[in-house]
Amino acid sequence: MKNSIKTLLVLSLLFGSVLTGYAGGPYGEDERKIIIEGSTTVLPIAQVAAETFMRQNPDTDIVVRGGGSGVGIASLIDKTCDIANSSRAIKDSELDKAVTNGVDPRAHVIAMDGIVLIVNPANPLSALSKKQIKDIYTGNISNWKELGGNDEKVVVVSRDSSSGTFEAFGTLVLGGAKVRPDALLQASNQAVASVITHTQGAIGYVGLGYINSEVKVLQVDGVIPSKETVLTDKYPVSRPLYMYTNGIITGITRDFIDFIMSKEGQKIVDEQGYVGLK
Amino acid sequence: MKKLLAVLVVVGFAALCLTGSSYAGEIDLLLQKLVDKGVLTAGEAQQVKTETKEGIRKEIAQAKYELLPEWMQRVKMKGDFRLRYAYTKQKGASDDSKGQIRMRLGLDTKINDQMKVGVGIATGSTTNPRSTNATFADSNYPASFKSIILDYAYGSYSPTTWLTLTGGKFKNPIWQPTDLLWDGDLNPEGVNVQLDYRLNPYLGLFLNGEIFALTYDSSGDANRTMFVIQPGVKYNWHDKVDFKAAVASYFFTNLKGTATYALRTTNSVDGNNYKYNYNSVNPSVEIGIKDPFAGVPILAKYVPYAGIFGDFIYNPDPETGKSGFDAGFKFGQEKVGDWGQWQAKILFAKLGRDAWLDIFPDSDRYGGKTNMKSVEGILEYGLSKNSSLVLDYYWAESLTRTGQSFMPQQVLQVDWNLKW
Repeated sequence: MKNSIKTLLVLSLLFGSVLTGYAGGPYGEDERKIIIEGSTTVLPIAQVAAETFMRQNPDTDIVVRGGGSGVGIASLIDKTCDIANSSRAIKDSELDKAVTNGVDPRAHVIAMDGIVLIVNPANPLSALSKKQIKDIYTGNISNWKELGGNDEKVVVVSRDSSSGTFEAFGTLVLGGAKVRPDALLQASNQAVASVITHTQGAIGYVGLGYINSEVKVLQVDGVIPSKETVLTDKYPVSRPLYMYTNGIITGITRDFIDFIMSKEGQKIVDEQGYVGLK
Repeated sequence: MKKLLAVLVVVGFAALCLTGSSYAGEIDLLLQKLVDKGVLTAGEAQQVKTETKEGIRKEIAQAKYELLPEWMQRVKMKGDFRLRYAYTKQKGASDDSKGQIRMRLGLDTKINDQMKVGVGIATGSTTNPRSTNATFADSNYPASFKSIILDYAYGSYSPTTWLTLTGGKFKNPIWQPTDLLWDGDLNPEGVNVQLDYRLNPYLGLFLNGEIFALTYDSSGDANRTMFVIQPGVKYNWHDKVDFKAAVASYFFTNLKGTATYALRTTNSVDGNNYKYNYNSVNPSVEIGIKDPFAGVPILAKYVPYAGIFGDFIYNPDPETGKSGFDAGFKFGQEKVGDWGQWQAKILFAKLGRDAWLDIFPDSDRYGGKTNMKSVEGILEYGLSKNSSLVLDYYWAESLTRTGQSFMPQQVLQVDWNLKW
């Protein structure tokens, strides 16, 4: 009988240890998994940061999904995600809905998105206004001569419509207007830079982290794009990137946001072609 | 971190003391000074500025909400008004030209996080469940008063985000890309279970299960009920293509061999009774494509969305006239929500005499009859946010062309829609 009780006790302890297998970790049973959802622009930062964070904290599980800023914020309002990635500020209508649903959306600015206009180094122009860039990308200007440049056809290069940079450029420069149909659509920042390097008369745009010596960077509205001009809002083609949470954050959500804001997290931001805040 | 927290507190306090436009300028100045003095980096200043601004927006939204009385915090009001001119031309009959209005007003009240009550009223009459129109000068008295009816009243319970149970009289929960089977005004009565589960951001499954009461008979002998089950799938491919498909199965009790509804027009009869059962199967599909003409001059600019859709119905009981379809395509904006936005839609339909009960389909298309084929063209143009102009044209004729009421018919409707 005594042996049976001992065996039962040992088994119970073993079973209990399995059930609370993470007892040694810093997080409670319900806190080990978080869901991050939203902006495809913020997605690469969130994915790499989540992988690094999970490597450092093996008892955690972070699910990262895309879907767009609106989807992420809607999920936060519906309480189906812990962090909503967004490449825009929450809208007033979304704020009202959140408040009505008892959700307290808190903004965490994790990076800045700066988009740089680049041309082939042979192009004599060094500056354009936002209006001129819009005219080029919507088809109103088709020859550099119209802007004081060479008598040469403008070759418009754009990111494809599934990219967050395309979306940001459309909002910040084109004001929602459509890119001209003859634009050469490229799948990556590197591909855009490569086309510009090899095509005289070409103009394109890339994230600040993707400029190199083989392309010429243009001033926009008289401002040279740099980390400093993006962070100080002087450069006009830039915007903050957000992670929204619900109320005061604790546990893994807090630690993950702290990680993103740490030097290591901000290095990931820089590596992904965005502008870190540190 | 502590430094940033202290700055946040100071800036937050300053923001509370300042208002409106003075806030932006003063806070920016304060932050710039802190950056110049080396207290903050430019990145930290950007973080403080944006997060403070967002915090204030949230506080304003919270304050606006809290200023409302408690009952108003839980109530959402919605409605719409439609002014319509309708012209009907039918071979062998006088042309019909009339003006109509439709008004709908609804209130949704949250009882708690899981439960909700919805109540809606509308213009219309209690004897026609397929229309909420009120026709100008339709009585012996000019400018007569119009009737207001109870459009819907239901309670719903959502124990999880993906499950909703509803009971009462409610908006038709069966997903239909066309109105081949169901008039949009018809609000069924009974109970409904709705499952809407997202497997990942791209793929979702849904299931509608309904029990609709069709006829109440105090003796119980002539009670009629409809059971519906509709499983479906939703898929989004890279935010470019939306796919939705479902198969609804309908089962009726106490229909074949029993007295027809007074609203019956075309279904086959045996004496005064229904000749067939209407247990049927209804597959539906819709595919929407964003930027379908990317790279094609002009089209890419003016056609940002295109979609195809269709409904099919099959009733195995009758020998003939046992199937029907409504299929079409649309292009323009996905939804018309603002000035200058537009959408065009073309639909082709054919519905066998006994493919479906003739008391349910869209009443604007050939009077809602079965045994017909039709073409419909719709053009919607946005006049402003929440206001649009709609031209809806129907051409329809009977599949067997017997009798005056089954002659070819053309209907043109011009609608001015206002929503709030």
